[in-house]
Amino acid sequence: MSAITNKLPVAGDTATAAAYNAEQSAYTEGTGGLTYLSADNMALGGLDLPQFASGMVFVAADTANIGSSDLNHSSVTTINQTSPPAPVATSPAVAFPSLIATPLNVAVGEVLRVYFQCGAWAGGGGGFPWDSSTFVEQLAPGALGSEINSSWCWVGRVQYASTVTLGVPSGWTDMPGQDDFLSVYGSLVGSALEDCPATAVISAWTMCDSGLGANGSSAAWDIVDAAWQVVSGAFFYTPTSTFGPIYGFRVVFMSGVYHPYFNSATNKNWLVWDELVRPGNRLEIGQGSLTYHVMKEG
Amino acid sequence: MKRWTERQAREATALDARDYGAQSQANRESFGTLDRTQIPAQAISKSQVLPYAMHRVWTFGMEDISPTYPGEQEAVRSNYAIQLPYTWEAATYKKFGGSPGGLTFATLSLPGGKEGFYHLDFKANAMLHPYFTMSSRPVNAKHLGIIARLNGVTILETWGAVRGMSSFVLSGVGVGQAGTNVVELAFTFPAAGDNDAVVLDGTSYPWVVAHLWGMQAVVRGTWR
Repeated sequence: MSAITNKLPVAGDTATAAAYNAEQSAYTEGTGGLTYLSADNMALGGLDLPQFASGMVFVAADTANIGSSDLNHSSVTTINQTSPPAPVATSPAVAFPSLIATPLNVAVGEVLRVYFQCGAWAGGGGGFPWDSSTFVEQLAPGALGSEINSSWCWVGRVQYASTVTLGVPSGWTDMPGQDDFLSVYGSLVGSALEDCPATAVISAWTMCDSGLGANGSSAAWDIVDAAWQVVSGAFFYTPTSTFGPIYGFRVVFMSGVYHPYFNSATNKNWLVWDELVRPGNRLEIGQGSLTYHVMKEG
Repeated sequence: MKRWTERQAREATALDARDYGAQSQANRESFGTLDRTQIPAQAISKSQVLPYAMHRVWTFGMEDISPTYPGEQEAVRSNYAIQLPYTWEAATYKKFGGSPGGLTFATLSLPGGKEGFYHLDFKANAMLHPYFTMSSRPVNAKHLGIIARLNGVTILETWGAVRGMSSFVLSGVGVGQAGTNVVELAFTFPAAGDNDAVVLDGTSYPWVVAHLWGMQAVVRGTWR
């Protein structure tokens, strides 16, 4: 219960209007002068109080283009394969000018949500883009045909800038828990699936049965470019200690094609880089955007 | 402009404690009806709002959705699949042939909620068996279906496109109750067709049909 700390008027006192106002101010504006905002008070319209205009639910939010800012596919970021693969940022990389001056810090009790989407074109490898002797398995013992048992993809992920150098975000770092797709397993490089919270994947090509083989077999495949597709990704995070400073976000794609692999040593599913994929395969990133929200948990 | 409901204090007015108390009470009782601009800015601050007064967010990381294989669908998983190279330990036709209602693979508990709207964002990566039919045989294109239910009511249902690998973010909204609400996530896909090559998986070479991985979810409850 609040208390008026000023000397209260008593019978016989005279008071001026100014003195009365001072008493009122002492009551309504004093430290701890009002009890906590109750649900009733909220229902009475408290939400439109000017001091609640921002920050009650969302602490921060912003959006920016990644890749080209139009839909005509004429200005794309082309990512060709390299050996070994390396991260390639879309152009322009996300800058978020507002974050350079005032970096983002996500506090305990807040939720960081990052969403991104972009147009992506994949293909270019021709008929059999991979080493077919490696990746084609017989469907079953005695079957007439054979079958493909893997999926190939390009991998992308969100990163944040941990520093600023001469006004430009730098120190690009993977999101907490996200691997860099270059972890080594024997002669292979890649990432365990459990280390991919900020990852999005893009089919490297499309294939389907075009033959009329006997049951259980496929006489022929059609393998075509995966062509344009929409990529959507997101990352949700509740830090256990203040996460930041964050001077910007960007999306990078590895310059190589990856495929599933089971790591028997650790009993984990992995995505590993396929160095036998034909070099003609490429990825093109077109128009897209990235949005981040920082929201109070309650 | 609002008015005091008691007589205004004036210059040189004699005032006793009861008069003052009445004025003060009038002020307090008119609190909720004052123009917002009349409420002293320091009287109520954001820091005084009780937690969860307006909204609440529940975040589910990969380990919250599937603790054994974080972020991966682990409700149906066959280690027969990995007899083949370059594939994952995942759901096979042999193990799960599809289901109209879907197979629930994660149950997310939302304690401490209030009556209001519940907004689900679910993100995941999906692998589908790359092989599908477009010959004269019965077409049996492969789709991955995702279903989300809030307290048993479907708030999200979709067919995924046929892609060997894809990523998606899906949203659904439902009305929830006070207390603990529950979101169930389920997936499904068409069963193998009669002449579908992948049906002849036998016991030695079970084919992976689909897999979900990199899964995270966030639920936002909003109320007044």
